Amino acid sequence: MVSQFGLDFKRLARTSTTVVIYLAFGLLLLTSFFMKIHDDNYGPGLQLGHYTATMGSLDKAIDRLEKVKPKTKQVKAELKSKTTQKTLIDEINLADTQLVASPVLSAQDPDPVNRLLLKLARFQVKETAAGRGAWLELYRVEGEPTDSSLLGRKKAVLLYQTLLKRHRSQLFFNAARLPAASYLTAQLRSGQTTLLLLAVVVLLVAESFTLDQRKHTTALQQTLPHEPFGVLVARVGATFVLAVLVLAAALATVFVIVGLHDGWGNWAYPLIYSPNGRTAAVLTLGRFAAGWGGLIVLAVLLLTALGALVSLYTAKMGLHLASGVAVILLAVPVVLTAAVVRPVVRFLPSAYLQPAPMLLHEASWPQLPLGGGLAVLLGWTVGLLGLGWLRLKWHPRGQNQ
Amino acid sequence: MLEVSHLNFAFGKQGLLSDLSFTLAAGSITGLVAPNGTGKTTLLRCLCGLLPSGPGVLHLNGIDLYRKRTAYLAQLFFLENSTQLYADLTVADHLKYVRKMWHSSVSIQDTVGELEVAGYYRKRIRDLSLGMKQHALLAMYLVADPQLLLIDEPLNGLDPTSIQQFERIFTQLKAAGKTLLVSSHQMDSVGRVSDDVFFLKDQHILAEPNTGQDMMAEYSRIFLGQEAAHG
Repeated sequence: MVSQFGLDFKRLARTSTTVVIYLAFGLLLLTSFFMKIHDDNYGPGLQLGHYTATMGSLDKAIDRLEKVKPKTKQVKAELKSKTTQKTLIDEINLADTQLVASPVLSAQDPDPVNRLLLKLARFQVKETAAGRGAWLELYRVEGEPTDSSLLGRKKAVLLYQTLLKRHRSQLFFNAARLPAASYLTAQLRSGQTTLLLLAVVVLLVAESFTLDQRKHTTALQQTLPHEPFGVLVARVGATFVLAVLVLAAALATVFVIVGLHDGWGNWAYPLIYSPNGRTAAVLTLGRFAAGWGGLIVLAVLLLTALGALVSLYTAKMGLHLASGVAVILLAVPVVLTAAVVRPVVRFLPSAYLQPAPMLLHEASWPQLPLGGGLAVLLGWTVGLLGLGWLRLKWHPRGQNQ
Repeated sequence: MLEVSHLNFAFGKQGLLSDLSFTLAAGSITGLVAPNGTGKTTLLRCLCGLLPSGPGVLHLNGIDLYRKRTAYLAQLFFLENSTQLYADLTVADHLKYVRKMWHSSVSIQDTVGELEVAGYYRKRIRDLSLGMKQHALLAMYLVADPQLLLIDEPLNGLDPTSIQQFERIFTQLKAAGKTLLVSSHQMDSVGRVSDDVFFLKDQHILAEPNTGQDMMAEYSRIFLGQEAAHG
């Protein structure tokens, strides 16, 4: 079957669709880059604005509390908390103003700001753990959701501890000018981008499994002296490998384009997540990218197996696209969190088509642990291929019989 | 040896083949002749399982197509015409693929030399003329090295030199013990190479041994004579 794989791969790779797929992957991943290519790097500037805004809020709160007469024990405690926060934010604001004014200095020595941010984060953990979280004025972090829980505060502590340890400036993942490693990570973290990439994969799969019918070249495949399932598996393999290679080539191209323009970045930059809902952990950009790659490969395999099964019933491009897109639409959060699918959602492959929520434990829908998710994706893939085997057992010539 | 017993085939209500029974011996060439649209290609498709024929109808060297499809197909090669070649692949790609898939030990180099396709061996099919594609297709038959060769109108688009070359190769294959069923409209060629001729008429086969008779005259008698009577 190696020969069949080689032939299918070569045929598919030489179609113009493959080039279109490569360009589509690239454009999807570069849209954000091109849209902001003339913008300044406003991420740190916006973040400084958030510190300033928080200081303003604290000033108002402190003024309000100072006017309260008589001051109860609770008012005094709150006033003390707000004053401490203001002092800490004041120091951060001052240090950060210098860094924003001098990006070169920021790159050389981000430790002073990180140290102050860590000090504030630790204070916030202590206050939240003591049940005084409501008194905290939490500043927004560009590109990240605000999490006022104790876990959210613990994550902040771990982030600044790690940044301090590695002497790195904080990155803001919605900044206009991100270095390549961070830019790619920001793109891969986006569920929307991931699902659109998979939709493009569906196009490649549909092309592969309708190619013979459209070019009137089905005959040779149907008179091969080999088990039809083996021939089908070879086609699945060729489609899968090509899809993965084209996606990898597009990712590499995007990395180079962004890297040449905005620098390469560092794959050791930490992403903070919670593996168990109680403690915080570090996942580097490099490990995130590797995990994303592994999971997306399984998602591509699943979509290819689906295309193979559909090809045994129809060679219509429209039906191939519809079946693949249906699986992807089921992976949209609003569908996955719907009450009607909630009881079974963790056993659906669509629940695991977005690697980022799985890797960072941020899914808003029920999921099995990582190993379980992999088992679901592989199980469905094997199941789809098994149905294909059964179909070919009774109809050796597929949809033409 | 191919044994066909009571083969029937219809597209919907339109019958094309009715109760055909015949045997093709090893080391023989059988010509298949009929006007366009009367079932030649349909018969070839049935014989290789591209169209359903039912169990117990087709046996190739004792192997039933429906019981042991893979073993049956391993003994034959059929590709309807050169438009079914892969346009984006080269002649070399096709020959290497067929050699592997049919587990053949035939030398590709020798075949390329014999058929004189070396000049376009590495060219893509889409860049070849009809005659070149016919050569590439015949090369696939040779490289696959099957017992049964089902060949549909192989002489289309060929110049007289190539026709002679193809006829010589058919004769060599016969001498090597292969079974050839060749459909053709070139009655003079059918007369030169065939041991027997199947005239497919009214869903039935009229089998005639080739005794050197004028095949064009036979064709006219069988097909045009009937048309004249109708007229």
